[in-house]
This record gives sequence, C-alpha cells and structure tokens, in this order.
Amino acid sequence: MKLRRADLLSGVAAPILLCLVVLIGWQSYVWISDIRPQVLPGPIRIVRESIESADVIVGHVGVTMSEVAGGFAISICGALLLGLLIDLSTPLRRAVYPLIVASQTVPIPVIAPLMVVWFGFGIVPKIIVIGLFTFVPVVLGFAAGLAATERSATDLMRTFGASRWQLYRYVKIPAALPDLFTGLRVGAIYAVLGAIFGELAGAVDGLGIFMEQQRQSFRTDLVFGGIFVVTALSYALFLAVVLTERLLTPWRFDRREP
Amino acid sequence: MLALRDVAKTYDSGNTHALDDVSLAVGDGEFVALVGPSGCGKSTLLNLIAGLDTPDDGEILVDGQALDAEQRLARFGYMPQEDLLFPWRSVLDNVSLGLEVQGLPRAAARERALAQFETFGLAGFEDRRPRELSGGMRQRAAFLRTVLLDRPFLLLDEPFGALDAITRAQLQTWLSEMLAEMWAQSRGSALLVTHDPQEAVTLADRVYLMSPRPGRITSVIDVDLPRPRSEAATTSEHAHRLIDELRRQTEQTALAP
Ligand SMILES: Nc1ncnc2c1ncn2[C@@H]1O[C@H](COP(=O)(O)OP(=O)(O)OP(=O)(O)O)[C@@H](O)[C@H]1O
Ligand SMILES: [Mg+2]
Repeated sequence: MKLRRADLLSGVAAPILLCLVVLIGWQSYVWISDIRPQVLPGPIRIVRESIESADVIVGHVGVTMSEVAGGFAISICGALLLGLLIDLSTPLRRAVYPLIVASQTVPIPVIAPLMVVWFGFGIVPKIIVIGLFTFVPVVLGFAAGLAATERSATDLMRTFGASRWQLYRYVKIPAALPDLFTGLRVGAIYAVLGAIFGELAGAVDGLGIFMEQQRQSFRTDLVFGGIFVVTALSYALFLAVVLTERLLTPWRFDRREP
Repeated sequence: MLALRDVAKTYDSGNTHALDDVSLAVGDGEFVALVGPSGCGKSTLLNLIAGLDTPDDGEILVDGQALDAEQRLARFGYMPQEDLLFPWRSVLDNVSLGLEVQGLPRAAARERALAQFETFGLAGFEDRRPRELSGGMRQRAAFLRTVLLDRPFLLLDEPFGALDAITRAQLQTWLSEMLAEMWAQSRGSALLVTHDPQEAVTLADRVYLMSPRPGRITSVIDVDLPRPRSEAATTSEHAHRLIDELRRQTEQTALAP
C-alpha cells in the first residue's frame, strides 16, 4: 500500500494547496476590507480564538463523537441486517424500498424537535437522526452489491453443494464489499452532520449546542471554529472508512506484477 | 453412464426455444464432445445435466436412474464457461474452495489442493491473485478446482474458448494427457462443449453435432483415432477428414431453414 510520488502529489498536496489558496484569499479580504469580526472573522482569528477555547471545544467534541460512534454503528448494523434480508426476500425488498426512499424525503429539521418531545434530551433522538442521514446509503450500497452477484458464480457454488449461508460467506458478501463501502463513505460524510442536527433540536451539550451558543453571543469566530472542527471530524471519519476499505478488500488495491 | 432422452428447454415463458428433443449418451470411460454454433444451447444443456436447472421435458438418466436436479448437483464435476476465480481469494484458496465448501477444514483443503499444484503447472503461484495468472493458468486452476471434487463425471463448458490458438493447442494436449493419467487410476467420463471441430476431434471419442437454436442433435461422429492421442494421430490424414466432415455438417445445419 505504498503511495507513489505522483499519487502523493495529486492526492495529498493538491487539495492542501487549494485549501491554502482559499484561506489566504479569505484572510486578505478580511484585512483589506476591514470587515467586522462579528460578521466575518478571518481564519487566523478563528484559529487563535478556537485554541483559546480548546478545553470547551474538546468537551463538546467528546459528546458529539460518542453520539456519532453510537449512531453510525447502530445504523451500519441495521443496514447490514436489512441489506441481507432484502437480498434473501423479494417480497420484503418490494415492501421496504418505497419506505427507504420516503425516509430520505423527511424534512429532518422539522421532525427532529418532535423526536426530542418523544424521546427526551438523551442520545436516542441523535442516534435516530444520524440513522436518517446514514442508513440509506449503506443499505442501498450493500443490497446492490449482493444483488449484483453473477448467476454463474452462484451456479458454481451450487455444484459444490454450498448452503445458502456458504454462498453468502464465500461469494455474495465479499463480492458486495466494494458497493457496501461506497455506501459507507457517503454515510461517513453525513454522520457528524446528523449528530449536529440532532443536537440543535434539543440537547445540553455537543458541538451543535456549542455553535448555537456562540452564534447567539455574536462570537462568529467560534462558530466558524466549530464548523472547522465538524469538517475535520467528518473528514477523519471518512478517512477511517477508506482505510478500513483498504484493509478489508486488499485485492482491489494490491497491484503486484506477476 | 449418462443418458438424455428427449430433453427440451425453453426460456422467457416459452419465447426462447433453447433445446429441442436432445437425446445423447455418454458411457463410462468415454470422452464425448458436443459441437455447435454460439447460442445453440450448449451451456444450457450442461446446466441441465449438472442439475442447475430443470428441463421442461424429457429425462436425464445417471447410471440408468432418472435423477432430479437436486440429486444431480452432487454427481458432476462442472467447469463453467468463465473461469470464475474469485478476486478476493488467492489462487490456492480458489482451487480449494470446493473442498472447503464440502466441509473439509481450510488447512486440509489447502493441503489437498497444494499437492496438485506442481502437476497442474501452478507451482509458485499459490498466493497470487487470480488476475496475476495467464489465461492458460487460470483455466488450469479452474480445472484443478473441478477435479479436486473427485467426481468421476466431468462437464467441461468450452474450457479453452477464450484462449489464443497456441495456448489452446498446448492445453488440449495437456488435458488429454491429464485425463489419460487420471482415468488410468480410476475410470471417469467427460462431456466437453466446444464450437471448434478441431478441438472435438483432438479430445473426444465421439462427437455430437448440434443445430442452431433451438438446439437439437443433428448427427454423431465416431472419432476412431488411437489413444493416447499423439500429435501424429491428431494431425493425421484421417483426423483432418473427420474435422472437415464436422465443419461441412456444421455449415450445412447452419444454412438449413
Ligand atoms: N437463463 C436464461 N434466461 C433466458 N434465456 C436464456 C438463459 N440461458 C440461456 N438463454 C438463451 O438460450 C439460448 C442458448 O444459450 P446457451 O448459453 O446455452 O448457448 P451456448 O450454446 O452455450 O452459446 P455460447 O457458445 O455462446 O456459449 C440463447 O439464446 C440464450 O440467450
Ligand atoms: Mg455457452
């Protein structure tokens, strides 16, 4: 899994470079226009003030990330199970697909406060909102991967005398992993955002609460600090998924020459 | 011994007439080839025999008994048209997959497979991924996977169809020698599907010719060449006459209304 130099340049250096260009442009604009920091703080101020409040932010990160860990994990487990069941039963698939699509049309900011009414200020509404954001891409990816197994591969396994479970274990599940991970990557991007939406609907702490409090006290710099942290966390989760993908499906990445 | 009686098969609720009244027989120790144009139902026929599908009509007898599809599944060593080596398994794990599925512990399955790697020209490639193998090696790996199941009756679906001419000729000779060796120890039979008359004459004792869809048997030709099939035998005057005869009949049935 060695990165070649060309990969390194285009894969890591290029996005960092673009980021830097944007930040420098932003900071220059703030300096030149002399805009008030309550309206638009520059990146230097954002970073400085965020470091100042690092203790507080880290506490909120802990709360949000435990929601993300719990919510995403439960969502993934549910999606894997439902994906399997959908593949095993055509009537179930027909029954469930419209619901899956419908679930993506639910206006989350409207429904989330209701969940707080139903389930209180605890972690349950956050887990549900994270689920609403992440469950569908994972279940659709997994089910699509399972369904794409070639008939001829199934036939070969049948001549071996494979049971249904063996067919899944040796062929269908490994064959579905690439599609599953496509779904997981999408899910990872939205998981932290889901937790923020859940917190905004009603919570005592977490990054969503932190940002909302700072906005109300006109600390726009710390609002941006929160946004940066949310982005960084989402990105870290995304990278964790990509790394897991490399570990679990090595055959798609090792390009050893014969 | 395998016998088919008036086997018929349609797809798409009767709209695609794949096979029509196919009758043929493969005796113990016989190597029989089935030659026909693309799409005439050769793979369909092998799938029916292997028990992967049920015929709409007719009977499939194994050792004189009419077995249903479920029973036939365990009787044949089936080598599908594509090599179907799974990219997530190493070559060795692919080859031993059948044994593993049949309940042998993984280590034992790998050991049994490994013992044959030398013979099958796969030594040194145990831990490679299938895509790192040449086309010829992939076919040998797929063949080894089939043979390891220890089923005396082999169903081979165009095993060399995707190979270049030279590799194909090499593998034909190789297969012929392998089977001669294997069958010297314990008798087996094979039904080989191909669209190549030359391949059929090189390998088989008897050749059935199939018409374009709906596939039916149009003629049978005995290949009375000596065994083992030396290069002299398969390139002899007589062999060429048989090949030409097969070609002529293939073209004739293709042109027939
Ligand atoms: N599962 C299926 N559903 C519908 N039609 C099928 C199915 N399997 C095969 N057919 C049709 O039956 C006919 C025979 O197919 P088959 O694969 O047996 O041909 P073949 O002789 O093996 O061809 P080739 O030499 O190209 O492999 C084709 O017209 C094919 O489209
Ligand atoms: Mg075919």
